[in-house]
Amino acid sequence: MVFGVLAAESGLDIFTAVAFSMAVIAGAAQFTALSLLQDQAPVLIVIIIGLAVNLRMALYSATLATHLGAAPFWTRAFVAYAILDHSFALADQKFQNEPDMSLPRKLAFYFGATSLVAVIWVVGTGFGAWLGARIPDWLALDFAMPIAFIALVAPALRSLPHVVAGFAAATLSLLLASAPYGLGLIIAAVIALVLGAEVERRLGVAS
Amino acid sequence: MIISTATLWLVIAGLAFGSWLLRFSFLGIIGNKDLPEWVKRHLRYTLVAALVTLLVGVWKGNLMLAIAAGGITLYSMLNFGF
Repeated sequence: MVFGVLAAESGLDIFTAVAFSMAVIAGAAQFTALSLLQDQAPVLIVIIIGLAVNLRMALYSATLATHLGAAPFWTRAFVAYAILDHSFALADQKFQNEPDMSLPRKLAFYFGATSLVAVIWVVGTGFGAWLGARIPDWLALDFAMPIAFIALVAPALRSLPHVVAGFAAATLSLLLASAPYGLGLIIAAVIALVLGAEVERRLGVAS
Repeated sequence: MIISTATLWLVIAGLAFGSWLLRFSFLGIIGNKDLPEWVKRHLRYTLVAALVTLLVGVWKGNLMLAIAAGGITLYSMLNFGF
């Protein structure tokens, strides 16, 4: 919805804003691309930086492959299209907690989680674009995203290695905040997950 | 500032295709092949690592960050008893 408002302020009509959200369905990349476009950045640069923000999706893809890799090609193609931070978070936690789930049940859970988020994202974009700048600032909609992420992170910190990975990610992403093109994000995430795995190996605990 | 229609659609198309390729990358390549245990061990920490990083990205330079970090510490202490 915030993206819709921003899109409207950038001169996009509702149709274009909704098409943007449906085609890309990745909030952070869309915000980045839109603000770069406003700064008159060249098209190629906008696309490359937008994709750099989305590099974490490749990590999600690898992780989901361990859960859903047995699905047929076209099913995996749809799984890939619908990978989002929130639905990945829900699905990965569910599959880690219940490793015995059958593939059809995993797929049902995944698509259930992701289609809800995707539909809200697309409809929200349209609604935001329609409302445009009529939303008052005191609603502080920009706080919705951090709050949602906190709610997702807290239950995921369920063993010592997970907590270590979380703190490493927090520290490193702060230190790397000045890295160009938002690359600090992916670097911090990769180092953090290696640390988490190393702590798990040293402790000899399976999570 | 009004962005030109052609530029905009080029960016939408490029981002859409590129994002799908990134998302499909490993799902497509690995498929049903079983991964070595050390790779699977690393992938168990994708979620925490990526989400916390994103969270900091959203909030960097903000006082709220300190409060959130403190809150998450407290919460995990209470729940996991380290």
